[in-house]
Amino acid sequence: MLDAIRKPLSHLGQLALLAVGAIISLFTAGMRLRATFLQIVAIGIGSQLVVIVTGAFTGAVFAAQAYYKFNELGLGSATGPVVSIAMCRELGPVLAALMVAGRMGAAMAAEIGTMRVTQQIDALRAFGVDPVDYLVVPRFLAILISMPILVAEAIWCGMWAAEYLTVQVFGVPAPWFEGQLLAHTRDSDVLSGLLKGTVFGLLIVLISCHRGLHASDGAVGVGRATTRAVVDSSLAILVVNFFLSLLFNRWLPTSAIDL
Amino acid sequence: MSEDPDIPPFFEVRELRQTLGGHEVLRGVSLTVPQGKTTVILGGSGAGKSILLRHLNGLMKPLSGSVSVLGTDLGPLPEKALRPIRRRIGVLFQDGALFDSMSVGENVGFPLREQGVRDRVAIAARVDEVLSLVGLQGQESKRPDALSGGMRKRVSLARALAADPDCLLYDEPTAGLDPILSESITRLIGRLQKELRLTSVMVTHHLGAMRWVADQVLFLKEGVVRFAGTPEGLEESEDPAIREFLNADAMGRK
Repeated sequence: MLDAIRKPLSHLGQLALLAVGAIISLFTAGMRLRATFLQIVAIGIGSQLVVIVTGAFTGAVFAAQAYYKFNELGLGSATGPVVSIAMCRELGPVLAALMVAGRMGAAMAAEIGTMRVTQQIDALRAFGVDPVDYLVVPRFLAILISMPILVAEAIWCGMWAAEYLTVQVFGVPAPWFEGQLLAHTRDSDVLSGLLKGTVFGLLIVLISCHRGLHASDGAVGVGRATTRAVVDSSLAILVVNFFLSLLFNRWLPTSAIDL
Repeated sequence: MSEDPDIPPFFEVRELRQTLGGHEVLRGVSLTVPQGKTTVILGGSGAGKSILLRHLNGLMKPLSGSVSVLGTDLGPLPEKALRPIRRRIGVLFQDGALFDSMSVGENVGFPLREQGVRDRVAIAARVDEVLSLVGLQGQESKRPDALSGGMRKRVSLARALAADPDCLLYDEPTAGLDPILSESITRLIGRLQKELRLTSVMVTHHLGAMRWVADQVLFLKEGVVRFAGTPEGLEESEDPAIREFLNADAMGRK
């Protein structure tokens, strides 16, 4: 019973220490430009396709469902604002982050975990190199840069797909759709999504790097670390999203829909 | 173990104790490693040899007891303060521990880059020099996964030597190699020791390596020091655990 409480608390404590260590290293250790650039390529450019496809199809399916229901009530024009706010505030950041967690969280945990079980982390330490400086900080920086861009892309693709479907398939006039969408989408909606995406990105890096750095028991241990990195990151994104939504609805409120 | 009282020892281990998974793996180990000499830590599997080695450069913290490097106790030092000490100690890991993401040349040049050397020509020259020392000249562009076990160990040795350390730690340098490769690596280490006069600590269960390179020997069994002295003294020891180890090696060679 005691162990069931102690283990998660110890895990959270280790994550907090890793976060503090990474933040301190960010300001005190020299920037590893090449490693950071390579991570930006892996995270930012490598995740383009999944984020674009996820954003576009989520926007499209949400627009379809919203239009069918709203149109019954004669509120077809509300589709744009509803899709826009949902994509900006919730679906864009959450789904982009889940895709990055599945793709890059697994890769980070597997790469660092393999380094751990093959003594490459020990080798770093033996050469006087801090593994947090060398492995975590470049990923931390790369996701700080990449995640807002990926979220913005997911939001834009979602809205584009929603407009295409609503205008081209359901026959809503484009100026009407766009006018309503722009009238009811505030900067705070977009900012809320970008901030959420950044927080989720940092969670993915911390959780995945932590799982990798603590991998043990050879290939089986690396597999376990990889699975846990994806599961933990995904759960953390969904739970933290709830609290961020409450917070941002107070600090960065959306506009009231007035049709 | 005799040593010159005027020259401080490189490593001094006092009453070192350590546990792993609730099991006591080191039970009050003491060891003095004189500068410029080669110390071999001998023992069977699970004797605690590699764990002892990991304490010498602070990769593990003692549960109790102390480990000093040139008079500095490593125990109370935070990770950051250990880094300059570690940079003076090269390590050859059991499986090489080469960085998969780098070529052979990048691996060997890694300690230099991390010590702030930015001159690419100087790094390339040093990489070439140490790769020549281990007989791998011209292999800079190869990837670690394209190397044999023996080559990986040689590259790892070149990487350990690249930053011109004061001391080298070898963790089972002949493990997993066939007898010919094993002898070749042992001879290479022996030759480098003679040429470079480095302080060295080698962990092995290979008596041939011990005979070839050791100035002094520590024999461990179940985390306890059963013998500390010269290689000749070990061969003459009447300790049943040591006799059993020596006899098993002799049987293996027949």
